Amino acid sequence: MKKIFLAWVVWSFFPTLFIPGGWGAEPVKIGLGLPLTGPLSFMGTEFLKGSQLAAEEVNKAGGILGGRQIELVVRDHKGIPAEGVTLAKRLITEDKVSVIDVDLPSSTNIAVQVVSKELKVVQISSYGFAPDVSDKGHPYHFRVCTRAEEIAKALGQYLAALPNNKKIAMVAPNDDYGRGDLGSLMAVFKKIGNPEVVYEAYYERNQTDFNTILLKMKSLNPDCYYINVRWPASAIALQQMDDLAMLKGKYLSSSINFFNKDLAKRVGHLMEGAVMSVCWAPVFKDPESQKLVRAYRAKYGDDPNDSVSLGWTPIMLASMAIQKAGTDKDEEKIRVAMKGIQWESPQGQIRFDDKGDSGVPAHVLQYKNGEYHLIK
Amino acid sequence: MDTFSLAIQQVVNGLVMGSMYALMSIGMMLILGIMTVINMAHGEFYVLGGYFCYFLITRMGFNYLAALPVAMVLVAGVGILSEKITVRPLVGRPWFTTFLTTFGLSMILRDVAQIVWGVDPREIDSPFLHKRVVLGPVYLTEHRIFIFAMGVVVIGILYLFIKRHKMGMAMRAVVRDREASALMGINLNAMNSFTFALGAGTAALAGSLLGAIFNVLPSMGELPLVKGFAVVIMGGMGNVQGILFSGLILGVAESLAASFISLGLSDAIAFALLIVILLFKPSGLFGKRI
Repeated sequence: MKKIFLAWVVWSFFPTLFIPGGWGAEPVKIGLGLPLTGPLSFMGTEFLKGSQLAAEEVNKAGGILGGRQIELVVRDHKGIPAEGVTLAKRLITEDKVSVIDVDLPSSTNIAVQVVSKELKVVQISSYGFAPDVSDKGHPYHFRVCTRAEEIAKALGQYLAALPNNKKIAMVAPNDDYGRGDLGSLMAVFKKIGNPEVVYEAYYERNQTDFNTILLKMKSLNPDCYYINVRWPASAIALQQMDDLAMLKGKYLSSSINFFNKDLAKRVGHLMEGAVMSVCWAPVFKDPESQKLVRAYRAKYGDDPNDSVSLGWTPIMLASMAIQKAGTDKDEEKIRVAMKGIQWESPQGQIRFDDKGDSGVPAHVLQYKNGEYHLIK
Repeated sequence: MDTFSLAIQQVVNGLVMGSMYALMSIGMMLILGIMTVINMAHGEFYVLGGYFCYFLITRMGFNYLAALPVAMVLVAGVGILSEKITVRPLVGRPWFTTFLTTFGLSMILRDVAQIVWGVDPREIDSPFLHKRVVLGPVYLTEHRIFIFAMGVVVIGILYLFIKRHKMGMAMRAVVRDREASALMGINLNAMNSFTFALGAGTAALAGSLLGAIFNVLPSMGELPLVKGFAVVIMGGMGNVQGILFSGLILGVAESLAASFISLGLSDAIAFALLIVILLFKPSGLFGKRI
């Protein structure tokens, strides 16, 4: 009887010799607040795909902190900053996450900083380009994407050099991101001395009637249109431009909002030749970009887009920081670890400055013959 | 494009949008005039029109022209149900009681639409979309011309209906004197249901027509509701022609203000115009009973 009992005990524990350390241990939680519904839902859901993929990659490689798995706690703020603040508090106080990333639009990143500052929790911004996202100063905040000024510099210099591009008319969303975007572009054009900005307009969150704005733009006869309109309103705006015969003989430009396969599928024939600023594209050849492309192709059978890459990077970074800190509970250690990270991300070399900016550059793509091409 | 051409284009643009404001408002005016009910759910009838049209085209295989009247009938049915549940039980109560119940109804309808169709915009496919029509300096699409024509024709039919048809005369009688009408044999409950159905149906038509240009969203009824009320006040209670002209005036004022004064202030300017008109003519531009 004693022998049978001993055999049973050994047999029960024998398999655990082969289980990696950390299995069954509490997961390391990273909190995500995204617009999974509403006008920004396309970007939010693509971002989430990237984050989930990154978490899967980290977990497949054995997890962190001795084999603990990354768990993403995801909440939907519908693109409304006030809701972003509420869910940020929930993520920290109820879900007990170690790091938060509450993104899209920039107004939400900014609004949530009050919470992360008060509760002293590391906050990553991966999709907040507006200058104010990091300019107000916040020791626990880290921006991993590029700044609107860098995007403006990359695209603005390209547009300024286009032949016979003397006048530009621009439209962007009426929020921190949109105003920061146009402000940055106008500053670049002013510095270079070309082109002249003949019109700037801002559209509201749910707006889909662009006729009045477009008619005004058309009347000013610019050489170039900068149409920074989010999907799916971007398709409507382009169709309305075509209805008004605005596109022929003009340069067309935009932001990351034009780097969208659904948009290209719906109105690609109207986008021919359009240039756009992006943070990343699957044509990048660096090892981390290719790692993302391979993982995404294996799971989804297609190439990832810019939004997916912006979701991938914060999870990879948060995992590195927590691993380096040696803890997922001590926020000060995680903050110090994050500050000291230097990493070649898909978007570029990340090295945080005093404001928490990563210093990654922006790039320019062109849509031609049904495909996106890297031109700068 | 010179200033004159831009102005003409914006006027045309404004007339198209204005015809839809008028279509939206006519139902509100009838409900308010006949039942003394401020229907806060009218914006949701507009939204449901767009969603039903989308559903009929994408799931039931209807073409756009066939989907329009069917969507109107379906939303008219929702209107009848709404009247029976949220308004009829409160007949005789103070006006703010039905104001609150219709407000609650609008919240319910919006949430139901969101649950059923989600919050992402839905595209309605019209055979007239993106077919450009150029008339001198003015660029239009066939769909916008269709919208304007439908708005004017439907309002015209409604005008004749109210003026000449037996039911229309009954409606005018109820507006004049509700109790006397009941004594004369007019079934007030049936009249109320019919009015709600008519109002909901016309709002649904506006939603189906504009939904093809702007996509259909759960929140798209908010601004048309406010503008609808503005047109009712500006046009004068009980005046169908007044509603049409006021809608057109509001649409044109908005477009011109956005183009020549300030885009951000276009709504404010349009409503300031309403206030100025009411200061000089409190009964509305065309205030006259039907």
